[in-house]
Amino acid sequence: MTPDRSVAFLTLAECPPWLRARRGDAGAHVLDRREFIRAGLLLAAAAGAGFPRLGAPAVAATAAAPALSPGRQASFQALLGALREAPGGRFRHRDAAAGTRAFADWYAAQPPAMRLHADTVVDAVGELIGTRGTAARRYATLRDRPGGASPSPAEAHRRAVLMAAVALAEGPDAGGTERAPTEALA
Amino acid sequence: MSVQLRKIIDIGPGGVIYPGSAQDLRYADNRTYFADTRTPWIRLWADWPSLQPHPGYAPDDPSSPGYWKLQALDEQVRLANASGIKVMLMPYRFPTWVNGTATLSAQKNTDAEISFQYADRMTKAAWERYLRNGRNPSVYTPSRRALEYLLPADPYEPASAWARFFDFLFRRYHYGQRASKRFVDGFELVNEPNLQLWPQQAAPPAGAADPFSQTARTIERAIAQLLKTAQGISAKYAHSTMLYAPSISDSDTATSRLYTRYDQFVPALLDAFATVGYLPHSKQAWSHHNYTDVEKRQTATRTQLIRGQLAGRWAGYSTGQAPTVFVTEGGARLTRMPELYPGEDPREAQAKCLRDAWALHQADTGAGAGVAMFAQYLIYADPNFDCGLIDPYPSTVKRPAYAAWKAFPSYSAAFPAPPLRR
Repeated sequence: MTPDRSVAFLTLAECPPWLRARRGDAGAHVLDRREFIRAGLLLAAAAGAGFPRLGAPAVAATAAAPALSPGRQASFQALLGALREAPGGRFRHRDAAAGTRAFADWYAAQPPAMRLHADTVVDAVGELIGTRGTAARRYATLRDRPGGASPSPAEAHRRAVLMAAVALAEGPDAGGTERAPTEALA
Repeated sequence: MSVQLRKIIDIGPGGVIYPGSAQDLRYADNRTYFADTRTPWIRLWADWPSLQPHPGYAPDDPSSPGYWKLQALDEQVRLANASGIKVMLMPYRFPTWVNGTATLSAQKNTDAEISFQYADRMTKAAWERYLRNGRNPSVYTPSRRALEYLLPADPYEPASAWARFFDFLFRRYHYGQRASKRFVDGFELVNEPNLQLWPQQAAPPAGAADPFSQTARTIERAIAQLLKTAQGISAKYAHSTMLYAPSISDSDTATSRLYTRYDQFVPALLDAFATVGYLPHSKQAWSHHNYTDVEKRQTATRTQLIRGQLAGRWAGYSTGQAPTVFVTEGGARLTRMPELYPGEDPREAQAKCLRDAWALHQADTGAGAGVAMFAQYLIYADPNFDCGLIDPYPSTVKRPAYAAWKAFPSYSAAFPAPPLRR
């Protein structure tokens, strides 16, 4: 089967060291077209159902799709716990354990490219904040932004990945018609 | 439209809300992507809550907690200028200290915040589900309009806080001071007022049986006043810079307290011009968002329907065929492709949406008549609004849509300068 490079992700060599830590792969992920189409069908099954919980179609999707690994579940739960410390209470109502279960449901229904995105971002956040210590301390780690308006490329990369993580934590608006800004770290 | 169908990428608000993120022109190879795709225009967001988070400080006060974000915006504008990319800058949202919701904003996702003017912020179904779940946000959090989209009591009057903020932006970035090498080529005045801003309608009478019942619409008059106030500010600077509005959503959803459908909004806005005493000048262009047209591969477009409503009633900027419409946001969400085109590879389907729309819009006739700009929302995809050209950051994988966008010709010619009609 001809590899479809269009859904390759960052190669290990392209990742900065702190992003590589939990990848566990030796290079780019390559998906064949059958996998890709199957993922599209799974996505179709889940269309319209968003965070925080997927509806019935997700059950079928979960059966066919890889599950979010326990390590990533722990990282995501730590992220949600940290975000509960964000000013304004944007995430304070979110139960970290329930939110993680919802994220795992969403994850299982995603096409491979989106799962890889989630893997990369959740792994990176896990490296950054760990799962120990207080939530307030973890949030402070997320909120820190050396470099101010003009960060170094490495710091900008860190911020961009954190923003991607917050977007995953926020999940799509149920209405799905608006572009809502990602703000929890702003 | 044709010979000068300008292509523009909206990079998203993140470059100001969170400088350094993947929506910041200076990072994540964004400038390279603009060059590679020969995209001559960028839409940047001047997020007001970010730039002026505290009423005690002007945005350009170095002591302001938002000053570093203004610096980030400055640098992105300068970079665009130095790179030959034309900038369209849009003031976005209201700080909560402007619209009186600062206290509620400090307790987001509490019952107090969720219940605040709920009938203008969420659907009746969402509210009733919230009630059924005991008004417990940890059990169910209804999707609703954010506090930052609430119109203040005097949203756009000449003495309003918005007028002062827009005057600040105009003074700092207008085209007449381009020798500063920090200038924009246009200001878009508002973002999707028929969808994002609230309230859209007058408050229900006290004691109304159903708070979700519709009342007289008020949004169009507010936006007419916005155009008039912006025009007055522009006049202070000899109308140096093109203005764009109203930048409306083209969703087909029926009008409700939450949304005013485009085909009802447009004629009512035109009617409201007379009410507020507004006559567009020649540097006020009409702008529009065309997601539905692109995503659904429409040939009978909403854009042309609106041009029909504008014909004979809109006297703003025109080039080529009047009335002229600038599409300043659009795109096709990858997440919508499986449902819309079940027989197609979703990534290829997204690219086809763009290619088909471009082919239609570059023509002088049909869907292309009078269309002067064609937009793509986002370079990097946002998983929550998935219409980017590249997979979500930190991926660098270009979607087929990237190649499609790159293949569209680039027309960067300056606007024909009409004689100024004030």
